Amino acid sequence: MQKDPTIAFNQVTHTYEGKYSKKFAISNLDFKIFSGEFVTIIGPSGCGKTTILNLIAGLLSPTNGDIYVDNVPPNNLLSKKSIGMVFQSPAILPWLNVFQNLLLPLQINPSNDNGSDNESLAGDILSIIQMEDYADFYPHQLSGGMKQRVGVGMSLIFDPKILLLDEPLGSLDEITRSYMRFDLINMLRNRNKTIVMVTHSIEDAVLMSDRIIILSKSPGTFSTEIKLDFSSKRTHDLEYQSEFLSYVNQVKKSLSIAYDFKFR
Amino acid sequence: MFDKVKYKFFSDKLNPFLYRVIPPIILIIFVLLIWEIVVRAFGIPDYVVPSWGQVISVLFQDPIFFLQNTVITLAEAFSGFVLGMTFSIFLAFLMVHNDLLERSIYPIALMVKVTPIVAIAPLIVIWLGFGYSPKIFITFLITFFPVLVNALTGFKSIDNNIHRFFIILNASKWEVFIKLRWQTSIPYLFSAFKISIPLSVIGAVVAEWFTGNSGLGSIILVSNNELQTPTLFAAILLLALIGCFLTFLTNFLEKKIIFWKDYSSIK
Repeated sequence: MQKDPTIAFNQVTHTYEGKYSKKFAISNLDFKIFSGEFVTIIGPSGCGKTTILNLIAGLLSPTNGDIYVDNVPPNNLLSKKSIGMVFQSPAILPWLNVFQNLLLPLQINPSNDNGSDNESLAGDILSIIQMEDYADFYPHQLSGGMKQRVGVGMSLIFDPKILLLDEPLGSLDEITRSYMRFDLINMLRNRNKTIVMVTHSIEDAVLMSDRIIILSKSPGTFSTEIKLDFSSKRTHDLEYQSEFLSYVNQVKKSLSIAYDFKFR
Repeated sequence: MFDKVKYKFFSDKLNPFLYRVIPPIILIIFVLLIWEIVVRAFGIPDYVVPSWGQVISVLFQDPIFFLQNTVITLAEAFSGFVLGMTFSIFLAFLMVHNDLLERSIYPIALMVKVTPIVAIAPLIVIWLGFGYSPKIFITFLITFFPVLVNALTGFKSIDNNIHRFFIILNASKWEVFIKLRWQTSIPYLFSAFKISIPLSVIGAVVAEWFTGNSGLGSIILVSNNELQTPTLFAAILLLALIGCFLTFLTNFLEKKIIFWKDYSSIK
């Protein structure tokens, strides 16, 4: 018997209504994500990837269909602390230093249930994101990669069960991006979290996730999925191995079908 | 390239404060010199253009008189500005949380802004008399619109991702306001202050023309009527100095308060 999924989309449709028209973001979308999985959703621009994350986080309600997070609709989740979110441009406040930014979620949503005090909790996160030496630095004094690490740290502060990553490496240059991928892998994998990432980058998707869900072009529907099972550890070397390149090509092929490209 | 090297050479030799202050001082001395030469050379009567020496001597003949009137104008400008700023920020707070209020209040605020203050001033004197209240109210009217518009823009200009993050954290509207909207609006508020603070001095002077028996505005009015042009110039000089001082003070506070903004852009 298969265990209950942590996240389930059952025939979900979401539309954005304008004054004179309505736009379908996703249509009759079905998928399940299980506990501890790292799933990447990839698809053409405008296929509703960020909408899916907003629906899981309860920031939007589906127009049709049902979404279950831990067997309940996202808005009925008892504790919002069970979901963390990382954004393309890190959601950090420029007038607070790194340590104060990490404390911010604890001030907004005081954490009394884990016994430890806020400052030591923020200190622990600081070491996870390897920013101990930058605790009193302000965002304008940090590089793009460092800012993103603080963003990840803020989303980890409540040790959420589910982590949503909205193009977390999208604003970084290619070299920083290739290093940050592995930083994220080290920070997030093996922490028994259910992770959903949306991205345009095939390399990010293949290197970081257990499974890739490919959506069709707008409105997004389920196109196909690819399971990733590497025989070696996810390190920098993996990028140069045939196993990785084979998965990349497989995703590219599936995406070109999803894009419905007609090559002339 | 050569110019840039020269520029750097001077900026390295002088301390930053002197580097900024010396060029305008040299220019002012030059202008004063030309002024004095022209007045003397062409024998221009002092009721048309006095020499700057006369203006300075008028100021030093009765410094207490000028100081008292400067303080009065400053106090009126400051009171009106603080009142206008507080009211505008409160109004913007209501407007950002209620679309209907925003649509209702904005056109009225715009009407107050576009109506020339000199046209309303006599009416305000009829309503509020000749004390300090009409002066403060006129200053309030002239200063509140820039702060209202900028506060509203600032409150709305929050980063969408940070806002989403706050909502995920279950933040209340008050927490979003105090921890996000308010801080985001501060640079916008300082832009408004740079317009409103000089306007507050103008408001105070205009108000004194209609109601005044004290303040630099009434000195200007009386000395103009009596053709005491050196006194008129002295009052104008003091107003210019007040304006410069307030602008420098605003810039100084802006850099201290918005320390997190990156000012290191290349010029």
